[in-house]
Amino acid sequence: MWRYLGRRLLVSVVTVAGIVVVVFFIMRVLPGDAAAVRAGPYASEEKLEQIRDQFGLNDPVPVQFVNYVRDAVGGDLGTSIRTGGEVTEELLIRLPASLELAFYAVLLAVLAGVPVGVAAAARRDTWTDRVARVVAVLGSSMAFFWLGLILTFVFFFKLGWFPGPVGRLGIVTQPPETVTGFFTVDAALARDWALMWEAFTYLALPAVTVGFVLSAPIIKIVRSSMIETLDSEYVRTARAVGVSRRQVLFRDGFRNALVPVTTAIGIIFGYMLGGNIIVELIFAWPGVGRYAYEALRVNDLEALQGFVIVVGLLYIVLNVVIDFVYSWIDPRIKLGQKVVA
Amino acid sequence: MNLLEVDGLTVGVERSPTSILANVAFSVPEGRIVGLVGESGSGKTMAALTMMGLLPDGIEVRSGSVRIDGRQLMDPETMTVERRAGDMAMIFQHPQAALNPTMRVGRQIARVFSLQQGCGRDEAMSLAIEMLGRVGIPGAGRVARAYPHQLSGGMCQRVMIAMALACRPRILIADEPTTALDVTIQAQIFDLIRDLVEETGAGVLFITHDLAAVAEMCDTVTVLFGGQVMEEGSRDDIFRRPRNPYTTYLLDSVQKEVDPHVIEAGVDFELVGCRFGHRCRYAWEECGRVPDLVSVGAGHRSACFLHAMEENGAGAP
Repeated sequence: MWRYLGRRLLVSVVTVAGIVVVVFFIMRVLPGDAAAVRAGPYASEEKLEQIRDQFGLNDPVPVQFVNYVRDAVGGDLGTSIRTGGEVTEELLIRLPASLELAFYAVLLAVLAGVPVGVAAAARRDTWTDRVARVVAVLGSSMAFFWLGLILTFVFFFKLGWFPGPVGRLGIVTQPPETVTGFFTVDAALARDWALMWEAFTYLALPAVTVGFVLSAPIIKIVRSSMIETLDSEYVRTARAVGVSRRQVLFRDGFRNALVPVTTAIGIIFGYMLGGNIIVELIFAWPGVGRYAYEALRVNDLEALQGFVIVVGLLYIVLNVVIDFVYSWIDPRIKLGQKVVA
Repeated sequence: MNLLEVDGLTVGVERSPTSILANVAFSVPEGRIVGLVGESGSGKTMAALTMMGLLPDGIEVRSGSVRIDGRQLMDPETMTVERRAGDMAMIFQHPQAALNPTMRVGRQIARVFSLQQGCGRDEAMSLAIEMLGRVGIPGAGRVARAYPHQLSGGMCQRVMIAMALACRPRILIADEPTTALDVTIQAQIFDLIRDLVEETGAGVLFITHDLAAVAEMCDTVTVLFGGQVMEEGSRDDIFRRPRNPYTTYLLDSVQKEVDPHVIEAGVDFELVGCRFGHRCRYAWEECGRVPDLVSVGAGHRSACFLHAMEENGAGAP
């Protein structure tokens, strides 16, 4: 296992280096002048020069690159030309917001998608199956912004069951003391149950919006891989020796369908890591997706670079986690193989 | 006395007139090994799956009965076989694919003991390890903790057999149990099956396209082609005194060392009349009808219109 981790770490270093190089040079060829944005529309040419000097934009590109890499290795991803703040710090504040939303959205998608997919496969070509397939098509053809707006309109504006789209907590509410950055978890750790409940109510609509859309691919993959395992010879064996239908379905069928399902969940979660820009905009969610969007609008090079690099790092971590999950659910997939007889 | 009796079994594809099995009948006496032979697509496995009540979706039983000790297993309402625990067990062609890849083999056998005897987890596991020893697996305790992919094909087949035996079946259906294994392992598995028949008195339905295996293993043989029983008789009847043109053809394909793939040529048969008709060198107009099985000797029956001609003194062709 340690050998595996060591090897993965080495590969990761190369991957991150690749990300840094590509991102850095792509950013340099993007059109636009960040200094002009920072200085405002009426700034003089001297003022612009001064800003360019201050942010190192006048240095030759290779020098900028070397400086950037040197700082990045130490954890300093530079300064946002838009806000003037430290990029690392700004990302670390916003990242938990995106991750918390991603976590609950994927959780909802799994909790809804897996049972529906299993039921559809178990009752193939019946009404259950047809309804599941319609839900899957509906989910995959649903636009985030439309569903988000409709849910807000119905459940906040009309019914008033959930708070409005103003972010992670009410405007006057003090967030809990930061431990994990997940407000629901931190509130629980502080034993402030009212605050935890409030965090959940603010999470509900965006999480349902994203979760519904993401449940579609989960339903599809669970259904198709379950159909494959239920048609397999080992399921036939289990039925031949009289294993109950329920156990065949879950222990022989679903358990063996877990590898493709895990892959799908991994991809979906990875897709959510960068924050969902549209949902974060609709619900005023202070996450990294919105941060990246704002940075992109004003050519905030270092903020964007930092965003891409951090998301890349998370991706690498996610992939290692998924590798471990694979080896845990399927004994044939080993981090280091060993044959018994 | 016949332990298993299958009679008039007709199985077809839903919403299609095609029959996969047409009026198939055979029986298995206690403590005997009955061979069910035929080329690929002849319906051997379908017959087994019908008896096990494991037919895939889209395949329906149209008529027929399956009896064990005289007890009818075919539910006349649903036309499916309702087995009781211990009636039948089956071992499959690809042992590695037939075992759950994410479950330790000991657990897979123990699960059967829990089901059959309602015993606890630990007791079931010790019974499973004991059973692994009985099917000739050395170091059964260690093997019980292995996953199927960590075992060889022969080992997996022994595990399959242990699993089948855990059901304490009256009838053991062995569906090409050694096709996926090499020759030395094949001999070991055959010995094991023979020993178990002696020990338990179970009847075995031995399904194969391998005539050498039939000659070695079986007491009586039923020859199947295109879902029809062509001939049945004792091993000697079939191998020394074959009467049906198809059986002769089948034996020739081995003995005259023609291309062994002839026997595995794939599904190629008529859907009306005698299914061997178009490949039979004796075929004439009469073969557009389905021939009945007629007695051609003690315990020896064959389905061919030639036999009627012979009786009328027309002479053998």
